[in-house]
Amino acid sequence: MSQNSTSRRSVLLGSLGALTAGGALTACGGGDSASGGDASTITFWLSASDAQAKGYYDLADEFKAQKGITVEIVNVPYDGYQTKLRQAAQADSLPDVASAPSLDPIWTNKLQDLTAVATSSTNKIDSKLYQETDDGKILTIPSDITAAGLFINTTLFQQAGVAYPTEPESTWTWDEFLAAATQVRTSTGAKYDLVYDASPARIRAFIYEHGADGFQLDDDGTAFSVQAPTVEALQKFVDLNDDVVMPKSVWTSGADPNALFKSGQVVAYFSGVWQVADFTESISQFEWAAVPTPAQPTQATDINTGGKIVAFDNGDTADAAMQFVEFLYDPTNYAEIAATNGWLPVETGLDIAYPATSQTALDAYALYQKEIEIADPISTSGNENGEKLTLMGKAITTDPTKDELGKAINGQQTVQQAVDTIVRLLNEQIA
Amino acid sequence: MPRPKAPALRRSTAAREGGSPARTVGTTVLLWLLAVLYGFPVLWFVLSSFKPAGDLFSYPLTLLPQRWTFDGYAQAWTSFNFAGYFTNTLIVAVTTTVLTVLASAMTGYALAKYSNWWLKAFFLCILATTMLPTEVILSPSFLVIRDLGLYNQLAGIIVPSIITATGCFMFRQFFTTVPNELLEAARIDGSNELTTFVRVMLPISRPIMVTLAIFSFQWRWNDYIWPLIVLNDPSKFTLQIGIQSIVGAQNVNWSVLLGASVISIVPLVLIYLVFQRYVMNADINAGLKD
Repeated sequence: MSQNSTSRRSVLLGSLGALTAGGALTACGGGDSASGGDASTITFWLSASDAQAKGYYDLADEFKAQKGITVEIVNVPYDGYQTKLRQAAQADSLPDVASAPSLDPIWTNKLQDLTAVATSSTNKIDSKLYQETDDGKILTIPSDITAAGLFINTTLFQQAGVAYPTEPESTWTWDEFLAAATQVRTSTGAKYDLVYDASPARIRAFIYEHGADGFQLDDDGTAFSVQAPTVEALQKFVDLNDDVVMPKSVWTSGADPNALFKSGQVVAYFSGVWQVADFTESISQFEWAAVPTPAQPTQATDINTGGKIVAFDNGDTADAAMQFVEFLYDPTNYAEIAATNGWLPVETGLDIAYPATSQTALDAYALYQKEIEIADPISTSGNENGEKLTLMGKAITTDPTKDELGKAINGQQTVQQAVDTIVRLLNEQIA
Repeated sequence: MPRPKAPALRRSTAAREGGSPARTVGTTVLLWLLAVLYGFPVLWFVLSSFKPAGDLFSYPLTLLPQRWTFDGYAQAWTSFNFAGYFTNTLIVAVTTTVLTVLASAMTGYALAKYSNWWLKAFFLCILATTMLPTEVILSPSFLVIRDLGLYNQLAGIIVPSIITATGCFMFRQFFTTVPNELLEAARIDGSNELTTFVRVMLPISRPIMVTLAIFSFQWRWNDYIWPLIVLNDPSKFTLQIGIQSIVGAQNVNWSVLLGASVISIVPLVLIYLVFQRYVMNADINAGLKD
């Protein structure tokens, strides 16, 4: 065509114009760069709801007042946080302190050793909650503990005139609890006895409480194995999902158990301590309570950790970052932040005054603390397995428990098949 | 622009021929059914945002809130730097959209109206980029952005999004349907290439420009993972990052999330309402005697 020869220059000029516009934009986007090299300011990344971040903001103000160092808090959304940390490690712009969802081998070599804080005799941090690396460093301390537990709709219980235990010492067995729940359901016309979080961590509690060990990692961290009692407990759990006692939809098709419980149509909900704050705020149609987890016969739960506090070594700011971590775990400060954020403490011997407006919430926190104290040691094993793997540079990126049990509940496979597949898939990931 | 007569005539004849009243009623009813089907969840979503947190999941479910409240909105607007997020997103979406439309129009025009072997090869390369989803090129693009010094800058999310294969392709396909006679007529009249492009070609491509603008605005408005990775400073966060931070690891504050989500879709709805007539009236023969 003839237009080839004609004024290519004007086209070129046009594109140049566009390029310059782009360039100008880049320039005006500039300005203040990320912090660094200035020890009067450190950055702290975390991912929490606004209510659960408030304690950190208070702590940062206090830190500024006492040490004169500004803490710039960035509340990152949970979805994508891990990716963001990885990319930040590549861009050499990691924060100074972070509450991370888990450790990542990509940046563990940039972490400071927190041994002094973790083992300090004044802090009294529970030694089960942190682990040493091979070269004797403690890279992370959990910010708080989470525990699985049972909630009931007390309005329904009262309507039905059925009693329930309030203290862990006088707890019920799973069979007693289920009988009570069924009685409540039938006499009040509720829809289900129970909804149960579709989560590998929550199902661990069910297994432990039935006297089984669950999926345990061997000592050298190379293989998971499972014993017969676990299969029996899981068989019982699968059988409970019969659309009468429990709706199948939660484990098979992702129905939201939290929403089901809030509808007031479900007698009980097995979840965890983090629901307390949410329930206090968003259940207004009925009364609820946290009740002791059933023991058949083992008194156990699943004890897990919240955010993993890490301090990065970013040169100039490394010292200030370390100071902030020390400040956080100072028992006085820690008790305050735990109260504000509604945390279960990692430090022992603290007296935490939770400011919850409702007595139900205060009772719930007190109950969880008692339960954690008397819980069978196996309750922390799920978390320990995870930490052990992380320190070896391995990770379970996709836990198959939920999907495989879902298939068993759906009748697509037997419980034994589900268990075998779970063990196989777990072992493939750590091979 | 005055509406050309011919299409209007065609439309009315078509209505007369195929339009027995029964059929018209049938079609209309079907369309209304579809509209209700699609509209109902949106209506539920908007109405739910006015319910207090305690009523959201209460049984039996009600469509209308029993007690109207704006708490969710108030909390969404006050507890986050919502206005800031909103402004950032607006800057990003508008700038990117303008640049995208301009760049796509130029590229599309060149690919359609100039013939050269390497242009064809180039076009194939552009098309090939559509085969790579963002996630795949996340790491390499991130390294480029970092090395250009655009990390933690709004420009870092604007610049990589300007060139889109979809946009180039849309314009190329459109410009190939524009008769070369129009181009030649302009040349005979002594218009140079740039003037021809700006004064003749761009105006007739208005429907494509508007369509692409709507798409581009929507893409940038809803972008999540890229801004999350590139932006570090909370004062530079975009709306989607802000909204996502309401969703906790274990809990979702539904009433705040609903309020925030409704606010965040308002600009998109407005854009659509303003520009829809240009899209609906897409008449690519405008200005030509055929």
